[in-house]
Amino acid sequence: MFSGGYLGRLIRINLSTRQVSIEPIPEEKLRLFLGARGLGAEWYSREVSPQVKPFDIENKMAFFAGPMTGTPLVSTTKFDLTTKGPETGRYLCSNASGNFGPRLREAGFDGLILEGASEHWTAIVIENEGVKFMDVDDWQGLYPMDARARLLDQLPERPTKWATMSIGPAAENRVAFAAIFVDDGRAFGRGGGGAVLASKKVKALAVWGDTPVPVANAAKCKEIAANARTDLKTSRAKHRQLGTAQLVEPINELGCMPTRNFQTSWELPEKVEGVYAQTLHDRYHVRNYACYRCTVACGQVGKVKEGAFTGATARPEYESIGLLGPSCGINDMAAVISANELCDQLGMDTITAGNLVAMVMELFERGLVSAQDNEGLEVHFGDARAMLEMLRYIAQRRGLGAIIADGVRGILQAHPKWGKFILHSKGMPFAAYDPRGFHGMGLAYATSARGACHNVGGYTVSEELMGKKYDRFAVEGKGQLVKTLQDNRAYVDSLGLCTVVRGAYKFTTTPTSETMLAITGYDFAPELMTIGERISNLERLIFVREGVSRKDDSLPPRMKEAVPNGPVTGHFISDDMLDVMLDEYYAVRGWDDQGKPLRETLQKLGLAEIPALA
Amino acid sequence: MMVINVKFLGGLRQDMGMASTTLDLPDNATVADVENQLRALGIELDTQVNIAVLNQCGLSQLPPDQQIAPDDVVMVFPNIAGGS
Repeated sequence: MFSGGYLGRLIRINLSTRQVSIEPIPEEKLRLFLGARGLGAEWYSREVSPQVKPFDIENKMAFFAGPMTGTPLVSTTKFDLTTKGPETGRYLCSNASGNFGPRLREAGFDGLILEGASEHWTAIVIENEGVKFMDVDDWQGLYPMDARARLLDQLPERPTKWATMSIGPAAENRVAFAAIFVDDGRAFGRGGGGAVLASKKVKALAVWGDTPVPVANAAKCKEIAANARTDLKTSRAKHRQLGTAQLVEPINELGCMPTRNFQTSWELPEKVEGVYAQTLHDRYHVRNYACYRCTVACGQVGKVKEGAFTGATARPEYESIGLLGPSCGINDMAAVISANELCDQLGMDTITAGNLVAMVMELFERGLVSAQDNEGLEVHFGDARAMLEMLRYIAQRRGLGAIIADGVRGILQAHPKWGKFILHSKGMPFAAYDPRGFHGMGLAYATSARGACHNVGGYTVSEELMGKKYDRFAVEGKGQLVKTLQDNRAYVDSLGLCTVVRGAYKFTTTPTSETMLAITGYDFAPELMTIGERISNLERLIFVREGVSRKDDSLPPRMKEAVPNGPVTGHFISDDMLDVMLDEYYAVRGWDDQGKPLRETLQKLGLAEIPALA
Repeated sequence: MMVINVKFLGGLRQDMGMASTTLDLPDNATVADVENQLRALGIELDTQVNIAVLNQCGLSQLPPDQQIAPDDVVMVFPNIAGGS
């Protein structure tokens, strides 16, 4: 069926026994689930039972690449992590850029599975089919980048760079939103994959291979790559110029910027200008950062050259800026860079970390906690130094950080009344868009296959401002919009391609055949949206098996409060409004009124025979 | 005649070399007139490269013949999705 694009096998490493096996991946699974996120969901449905807890030895981790990962096209960098995540206690899919996915494929594998747990802290080195284990107990406490450097020091020179993954102190301390860092600047950020890797006592991994990823038509791939580079020069020029940080200004002007823990959704432009992309560019920018074979290079590396945070260096994206910045009452880019750098060093997701520090700030503001509860540290909105210290407290499980480190679920268990100050769905905190100004984002957060995520859930903002049939303050029509965006995203996440460049390959809701034909020799185009829908439904089936129903497709209490200031003053999302969106969403998905896929929907998508799910 | 303000946000401000400008429009100006004047400034509106917003609603979502008022405000910015 396929004459390129797939290696058709995975490598499985049992950390308890240090046994390594190589297994085939049936072609039919590749056709049905495409790769990366899709293959991960299919694997998870068979190998991770609903009873398993995230840190149980029975939990497993899968890293799957897609058919585009590592091919000679532009930005073919992505690969996907699938595991049971500690942030939600459920299925977690997460994707990352960097060289690891491409190198894994050059080593000869579409996927890597980790199971069991090591007795000692371990580094794993995969070179083609060879696997070595290194005991690295003395690496405990290292930042992810330092663990990477230590590992690279011990590896032989090869014609191309080794790719790495590594974790930091937050993961070692089982922080529920600890990340896995890929190479020197990308991450599986959301959901706590880093803590799961730590539970297996894996501090770092490296991979290298010497076999180019096969493609069906190399000449055509070369032509497509050249056309994509030309397209991206203009279509993604703005990404290269200022990165995603340039969303700060419009999202604030549209009244949807989380400010002071979403108590407000707008800040005076003369204040928030301190965290504009232009400020980052003019005062702090040192270089752009590019992922594997990417010509866009949208990462904006900023370094603080003077003042309180001198020396801090990070690559702040929009979400990190919004949640470590205005949501914490901070409008100083130097402070945001410093906080972003600290999250990277400790190894934590900036989105959840920013959300939960903002929650602590609100608790202080309301007098619900005091310095006595937090080892003497007061944490107030606008206090950047306190924010940095609180981030350390979380990673070290000190003061209130001992509770915060367990994530939303841990906080709600310890202090149920704090729930009204946490912006989340299913335990995963919001991205940096207030849904009261884009109601579609509310439905996206509520129904995302991993919690309140703007990527997996569906980024509705552009369509809610440009689509002729949408009104951003209306609830009608959002069910179809969110379904379409989710299915589109599900197949793009399964290709192994960065979403920023998908337009250059026409991976839209009406994809063209050219690219996948050149890579795999198979005309995937007519099936891609159906594959996306199949993946969305399989993920929902997994969620249902893990106890999710309509009651969990929810928004936090703050969304029912009218926005008190700015351009969207007075807007809110009531339970009734969410119900209208959910009813429409479930109907267009072919799910029952509790959000369970109907049998005819599963039959239509070829999922009726998925074991243990129906 | 009436004058309305146009704000350029994000990377578009750098391209335009200014944070804002004004459009001179006839008294009975419509959404279509605003779009035409923005195009005349070199702003790409016919693809998904930029987003134009009039009084918090997408310009392309409004009827082309909708009347413009003197205190209306237009914002234009690049169509960018967020990262983390």
